[in-house]
Amino acid sequence: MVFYNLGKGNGLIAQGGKDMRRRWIGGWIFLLLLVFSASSFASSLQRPFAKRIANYQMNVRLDVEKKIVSGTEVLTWLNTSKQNIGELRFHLYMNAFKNTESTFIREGLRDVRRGRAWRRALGKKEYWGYIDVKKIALVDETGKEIADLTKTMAYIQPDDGNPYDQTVMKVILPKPIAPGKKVKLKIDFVTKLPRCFSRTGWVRDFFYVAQWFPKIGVFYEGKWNCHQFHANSEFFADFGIYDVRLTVPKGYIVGAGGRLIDKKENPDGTITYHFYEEDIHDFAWTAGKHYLVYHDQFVYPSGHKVNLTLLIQKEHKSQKDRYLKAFKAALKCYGTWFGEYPYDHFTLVDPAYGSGAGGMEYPTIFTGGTSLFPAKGSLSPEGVTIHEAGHNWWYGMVANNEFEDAWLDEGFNSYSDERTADAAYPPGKLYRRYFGFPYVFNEVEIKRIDRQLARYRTGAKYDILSRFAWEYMNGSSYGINAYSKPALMLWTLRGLLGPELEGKVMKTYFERARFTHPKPKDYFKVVNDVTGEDWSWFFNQLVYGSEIVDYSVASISSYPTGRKVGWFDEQGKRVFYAGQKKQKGKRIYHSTVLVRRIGEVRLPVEILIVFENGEKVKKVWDWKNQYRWVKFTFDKPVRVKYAVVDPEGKLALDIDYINNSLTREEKKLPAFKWAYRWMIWFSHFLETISFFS
Amino acid sequence: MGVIASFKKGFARTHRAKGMVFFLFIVNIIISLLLFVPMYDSLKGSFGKRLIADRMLKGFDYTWFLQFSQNAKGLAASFKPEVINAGAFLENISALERAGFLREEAIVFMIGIFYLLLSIFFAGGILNILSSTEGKFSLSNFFAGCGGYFLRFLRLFFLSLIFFVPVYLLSFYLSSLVYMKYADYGAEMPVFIFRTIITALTFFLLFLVDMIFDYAKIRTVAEGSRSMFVETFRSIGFVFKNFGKTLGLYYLLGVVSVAIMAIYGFLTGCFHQTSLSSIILGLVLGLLFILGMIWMKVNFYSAQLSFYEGRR
Repeated sequence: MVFYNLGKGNGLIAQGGKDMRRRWIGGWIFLLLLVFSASSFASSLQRPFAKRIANYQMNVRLDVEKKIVSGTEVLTWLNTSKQNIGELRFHLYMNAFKNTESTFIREGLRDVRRGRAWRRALGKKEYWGYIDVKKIALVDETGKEIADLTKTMAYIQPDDGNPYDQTVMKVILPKPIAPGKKVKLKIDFVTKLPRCFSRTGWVRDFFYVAQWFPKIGVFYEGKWNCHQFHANSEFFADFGIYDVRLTVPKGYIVGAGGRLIDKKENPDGTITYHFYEEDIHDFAWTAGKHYLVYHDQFVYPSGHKVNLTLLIQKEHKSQKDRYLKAFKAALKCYGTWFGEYPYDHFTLVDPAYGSGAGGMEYPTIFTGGTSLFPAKGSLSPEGVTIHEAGHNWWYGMVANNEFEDAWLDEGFNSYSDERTADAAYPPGKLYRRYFGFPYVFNEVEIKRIDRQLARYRTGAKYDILSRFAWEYMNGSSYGINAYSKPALMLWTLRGLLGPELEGKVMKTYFERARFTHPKPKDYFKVVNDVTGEDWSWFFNQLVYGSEIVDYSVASISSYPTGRKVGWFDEQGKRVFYAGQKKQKGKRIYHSTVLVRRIGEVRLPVEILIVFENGEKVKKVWDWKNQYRWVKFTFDKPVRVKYAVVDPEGKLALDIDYINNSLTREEKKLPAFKWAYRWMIWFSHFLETISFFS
Repeated sequence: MGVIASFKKGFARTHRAKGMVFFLFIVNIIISLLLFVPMYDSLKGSFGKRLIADRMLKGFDYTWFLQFSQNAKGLAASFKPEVINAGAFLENISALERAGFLREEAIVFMIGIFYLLLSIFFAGGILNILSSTEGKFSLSNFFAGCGGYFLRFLRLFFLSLIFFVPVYLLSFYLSSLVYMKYADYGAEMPVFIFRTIITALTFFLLFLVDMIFDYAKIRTVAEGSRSMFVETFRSIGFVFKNFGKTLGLYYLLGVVSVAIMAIYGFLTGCFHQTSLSSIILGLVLGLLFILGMIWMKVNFYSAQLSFYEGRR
């Protein structure tokens, strides 16, 4: 459990006289502040948190033998647009797993990153999955059928026209829904779960059930926004109430994205779990036989309590504390920086080995991921835990369209989880597994941002950020543009604005955007509003362009001045100087530092020049009218020792880290140190290979 | 002669031929230095005039490494932070189990193959010196042995591949079998256990083949035979006839080798190499480690030779 220290000296200690009265008043003010702060969470966030557009009541049963979830869904949908709507569109995500011709599988198999693993995962008949809508009917408030819409159902492919893709369905209503009116539908469906290799499905007796029910699209900006399921894309949905009854065989431990209201044993050897949650936009759940269940609690300074549940595989029992510590670190940091987690429960699922369900977020529930014998000092399972928990802010609450602006949640969340890891843990250490056991290289510290930069470097110019997720060049570019580049961009903005102002930007954006569907322009507006400046020059280059940031110290030189050679006209006479070896007086060095902008992106950049006597000179090269290079010259009695661009590492996007600094003198010892260490490895390599002699 | 006696006698024999151990050590270091120089230049070129140099002296700049490795080609691409301390040998031992040498950079692999051929060449010299009456190292005797047995030992090497290659194939097959069988099991532990068993089996078989061919070489020198087929089969017979003892001796020598590695790993991890003196100390330790490995290589021959002579 985490409690916050309220600080010292807040007690009401009576000391008599004026002082006592002052303290007494001060105490009351403090108490009032305390009550105010405690209630501020509640007052700023009143139920309903969101506009409840898509509300689901579901009653389903899991057949663990056939890997089938079947049942009924009653959807109450509110038309919040200003149009009459005569057609409804639904995601049938599970049909992505139906055959090799679904858009999801087609795209995945073509992807170098995934293709091999997916081909292997789709080997057997029982591995495939699908969803069948058996019946869809319009019902009245009491649930009585008004019209059977089943015959109007049709699969559509709004993104690629692939006739085999059945992940989007449309239904024609007998009468359009007027603005502000609700429609209620009863849907009977059967979902065959796939062998889990990408987020959802089963492995032996482990079930992770996500994207599993007919889910209405979002009527957005005057039209349906209901994309097909793509290999490189996640999701988009409206908020609402989820009231779900899950019936599973006894012996299975169940976790879900909702509060457990009750559970009831049935005569047929099953148990029905009733989960309920408001103001969420998806519902995922898990059932498994090998979970250990741990409960904990996190308490915000406002007094808001979050009940934590950890469902962990028995073989990972020893990692319970590591999981929970990271879980709480995310709640604390995200809560402090952006806003408190408003729900009263949060579930972390440690998925089964080889399930492919790890590292995925859903409202109030998410999956982590680890392996046997994790390395001490590494941030596994911490990294994935923080990231996926963090998605309940960037995706869960700030519910942008992940199909169209994937970077807005993945990028924001990568940046936020890196900050959290930095705040809560020392830098991770490099480790490798030898014969199944980890060996930690304590000398090698890894900053999480390092990997983002390395990934970004592999394809910085593939795409621009602002593209639909499946339209990036390939899976690698999706990773770069949804995760790495936006995270680095946010780090860069933090560097330019400073932590305080940038922190205010993030908090303001979160507060404005939570429980809505923000677009990039909403974030840009917050940046402009909070800073009081127009930052379009920044975002135009980085969001709508694919050029790179690269500043370099190209050269430094220092040479003595005043050594005259040749004919000089001095005091009316022409004097010849042959050059003197020793100059009279103090020697002055003329030093030049040449800084180049190698990338096309222009950002304000600082340059630090350090002289041999320790003197430091800092220059700022403004982004406006920034030419390809700038030269700084100095005449000083000492030479330049080194120069470095962006000395504080503010420009996280700078793609070339090596060229950021230059020293006048070469250092040989570090290269010797690492070359000899490599040589010892190589000598041993030779001896090892001679084993075969 | 028993295992311990052979072990002791082998050590004494190696001690008598310590000049040979130093010679082999010098050869190893000269070959390594051939690549050390371009590697040093490559690293110096990358960070010698950058502030990264200071960070690389104090520790390891992983940000630099990621960029360096993304751009590195050829020899430079073989640089990795895993060369630190125990990583230096864990990487190689692990590669031995997975045939990971095949994935090394071409230049590293080619030099490795050259060194392997050189080791085959030197094996004749080593055994010639060890089996001589005096047992003392002289270059003429050494190279006489090298030249005298090279072609025969080369044939033995090719024969040994007939055994080594199936060991790797078996290991890969069993590993994939385990992964396939337990892909749907939902728990990692069985995979880990079976993978560990496969690792142990792979090492056992690799060591067995190595031991058989060590005795084949020993027999070739001791008996002066010319048919490597015959010597291979006779060695198999010899090893299995004295299975407990041959295996015991081999593993006893193996334990000493592992101990040398462990000591090196421990000692190099005890101090930070941030100054010239500590770097020199690290270098000396590294060289002693390599010397220890070569000393053990000769010990394997001498102890097994002593054992063979005792059983003749």
